[in-house]
Amino acid sequence: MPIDYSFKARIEAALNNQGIRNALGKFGKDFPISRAKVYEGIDFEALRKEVAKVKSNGAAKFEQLADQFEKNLTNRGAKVHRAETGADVYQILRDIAKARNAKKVVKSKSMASEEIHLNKHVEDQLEMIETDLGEWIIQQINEKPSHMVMPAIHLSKEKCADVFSDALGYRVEVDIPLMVKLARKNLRQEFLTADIGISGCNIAVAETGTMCIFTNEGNARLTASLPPVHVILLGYEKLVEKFEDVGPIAKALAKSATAQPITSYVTMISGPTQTLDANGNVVDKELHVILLDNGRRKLLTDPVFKEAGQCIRCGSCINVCPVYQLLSGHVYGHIYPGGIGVILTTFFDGFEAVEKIQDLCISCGRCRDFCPGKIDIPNLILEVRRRVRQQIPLPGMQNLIVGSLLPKKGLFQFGLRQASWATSMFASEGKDGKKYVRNLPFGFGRLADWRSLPAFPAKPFRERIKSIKQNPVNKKGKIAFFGGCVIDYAYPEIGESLVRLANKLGVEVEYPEQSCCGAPAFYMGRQDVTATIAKQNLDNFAKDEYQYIVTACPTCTEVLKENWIHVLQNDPAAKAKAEKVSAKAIDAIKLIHNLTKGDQAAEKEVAALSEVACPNKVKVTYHDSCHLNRSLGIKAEPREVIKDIKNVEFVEMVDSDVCCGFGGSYSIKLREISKVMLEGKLKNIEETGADIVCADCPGCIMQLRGGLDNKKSNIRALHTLELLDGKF
Amino acid sequence: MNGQVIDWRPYLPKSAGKEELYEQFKQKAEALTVKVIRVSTKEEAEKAIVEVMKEFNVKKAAAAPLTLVNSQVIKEEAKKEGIDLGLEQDKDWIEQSDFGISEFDIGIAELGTVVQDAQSIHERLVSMLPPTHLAIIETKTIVDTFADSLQIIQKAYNGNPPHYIAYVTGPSKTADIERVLTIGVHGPSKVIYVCIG
Repeated sequence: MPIDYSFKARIEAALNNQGIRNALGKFGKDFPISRAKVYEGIDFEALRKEVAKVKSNGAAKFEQLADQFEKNLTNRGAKVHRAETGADVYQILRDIAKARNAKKVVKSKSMASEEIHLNKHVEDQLEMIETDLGEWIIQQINEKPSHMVMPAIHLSKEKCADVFSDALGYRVEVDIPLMVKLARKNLRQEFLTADIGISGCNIAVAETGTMCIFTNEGNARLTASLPPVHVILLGYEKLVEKFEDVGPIAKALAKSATAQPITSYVTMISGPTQTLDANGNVVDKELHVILLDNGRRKLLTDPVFKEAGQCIRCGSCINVCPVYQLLSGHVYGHIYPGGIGVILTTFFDGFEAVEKIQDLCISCGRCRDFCPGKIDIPNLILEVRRRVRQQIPLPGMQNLIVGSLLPKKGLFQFGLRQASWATSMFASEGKDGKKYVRNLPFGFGRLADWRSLPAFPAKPFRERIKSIKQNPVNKKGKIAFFGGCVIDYAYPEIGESLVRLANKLGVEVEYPEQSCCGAPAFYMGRQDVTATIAKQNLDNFAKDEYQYIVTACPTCTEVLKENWIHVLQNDPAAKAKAEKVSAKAIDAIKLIHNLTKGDQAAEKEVAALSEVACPNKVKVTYHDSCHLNRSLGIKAEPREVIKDIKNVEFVEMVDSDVCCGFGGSYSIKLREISKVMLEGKLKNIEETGADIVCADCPGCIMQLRGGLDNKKSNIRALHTLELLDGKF
Repeated sequence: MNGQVIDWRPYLPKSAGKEELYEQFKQKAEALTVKVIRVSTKEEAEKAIVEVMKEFNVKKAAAAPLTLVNSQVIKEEAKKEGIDLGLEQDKDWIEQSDFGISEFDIGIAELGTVVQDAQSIHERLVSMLPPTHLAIIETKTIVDTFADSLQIIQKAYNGNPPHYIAYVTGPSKTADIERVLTIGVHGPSKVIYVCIG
């Protein structure tokens, strides 16, 4: 399997950079708290609906709005330029400068200029001076921003002091206020003597020709006011239709970016103004506006990716990304990091540019919860992945497994069965009595040396169910159980617990003939394979006799509820069946909650359930599985069910909803990252002092159990169904 | 260049200037280290401004053209305290000043923000270049939300906004080095609001 060592080396280097890890780790912990505080009393869901509305409207009509915007600004005396590529921008700027014999340019922050590497391409003609403090610092050492809002967040104050010392020619103390003061003093002279000011802009209003710039330092105001020429560089995605559309964006931008109510300065420029010349005379300024395409037209007209046009570049998706927090922005290799960065880079730099980095997304969905533009970022990344895989196939072995083995039901199941005897050779018992594989030969050692793998039992669940004698109390109905590969072949005991619990609640369980749900293929960009697999399952599940189709793996639940319909959209007959399955699909914990806490609850049965479970006092904490919590919206239910069990003392862990690092094949492909995410999760679990950590996803259980076994911890990881079934 | 100066006051919503809006405005501004001074009359405002300059140990100050107070009176009173207030719109003078004074059209309660038609370069310079900036507003112009400010601008300019509008919310700041909040980068490190009425 070809491995891109430069990509892997960048990951290794970032993971070993303790300074960045500490800084971003702390930021990652602080940000959600301060952000929540600044949004207090504001209905975020309503606000982001408004933002999404004005931005998607802008995206839908961008050509028309661009014309209107240009016309308005031209009428007001500004010069509007259109640039298809970065090269066009270089030329436009060169011509503007040449006409006035301009030499010195002060720049306020513009990500669009970073994206096209503007400075590098014009510095033979122009002295380009970054004036945003973070941008100025990284400009001195020739680095790229590692974050859209905080470009130098990867640098320590010691490093910054070195940068100042080198730039100013004398030793500058490691003193942040002093450095800020020096920046003010030195850059002030540049502002006063610059020939041109360049800035970006956050919002462009078509109906008035207004450009809004949000800054804290005040450099954009000076850039816009002092030099005789102001050049504003902006992408088409900044356009909104109406002046009032500024409202919701302004309300969300700083709150989501830096947890501030608003930036210190909001500047609205709707045409050229005046400045003072060297003699103090008031003179008219030149205002040039450059509308940049560089892939944006393609993005905004794409039926799927136009959604990314709702981005207001706050960076909150990056701030909360558990992978970004470990790696910082430079691993992504281009200007825009994190999830939204992958999407933008796809259009600005092409599919080749994101082939590797799109894999960094673990699909935990945390960013989606925070996005003020209501963009389903993980879903768009899956679409990037799908399209990448159409152009650049998966590496050989992976492609063989996903493309050829997975859709061949018999062969695939045969393979999984072989895992039993294959793993049995290396398996031994752990502290919790389960069998684990800790050492693997032939260079596979690194798969299990940080997280023990489960030994596959000899008999999968599909065999075991045949010998379970079901005796539902006061039988209410029948459900179909969709086991999923992990429960079927690695953890059949979770399935057995489900059957016993269902029986206690008056429900009979059937296990129709079934295959994989297709999630692995879906998440690796092979939705065509998922469609094939879905069709293998549909007939056996789309039956009227089942009240519910139950899974105990939220990833499977999500696939049954949503993805099968999606991948079968061009096959009406199959889609109709998928819709039938979708309507009945439910996660086991949700069903148990319905049966024990909902209208259907029968007291006696509930009591039976909670009494048996726990004979002795035990402390339990809960890990929210990403797909259960975020995709299915199930967060309170497992807690309520667990808290009801006698003798259980429930305790919350810090960041219970942050991904454990499993992510299916992610933990094999990018095990370096998965490992560190697991370490963080285990630390949070240990700090609770709990005896047991519960989760409702067998993937999370595999990750948590493997990590706990590796650490020889006394803490046990259980599927909530096992806890309810008293199996510990 | 539209350049015309328009009075925003006829376009304020009915609720503008309510006592609770002032209270919220003050609280939000103070949370950002802004010093908020409230006075009843023009004369009190003139006096308060001189007092503040004394308190900040100002030697050299600059003011944009003022209408809510008499700048000549302030200049004379300041002179007695050894403060040189320049009323000539001179870039070097403003740049060398410790203190800038200018008027803003409205305040925004939910943010502690002041808003100004800033087409005049001098309006901008006095609020950008000196390390301390004093903004004068009328209390009755404090509106509830940012969205209100957009409506006022739309109405006052009949959908044809002035070429430069400035929203200022407290001091200039950065968190670019290790996310440590530090005030006073390219703009003022200290901001004072004087609310008249």
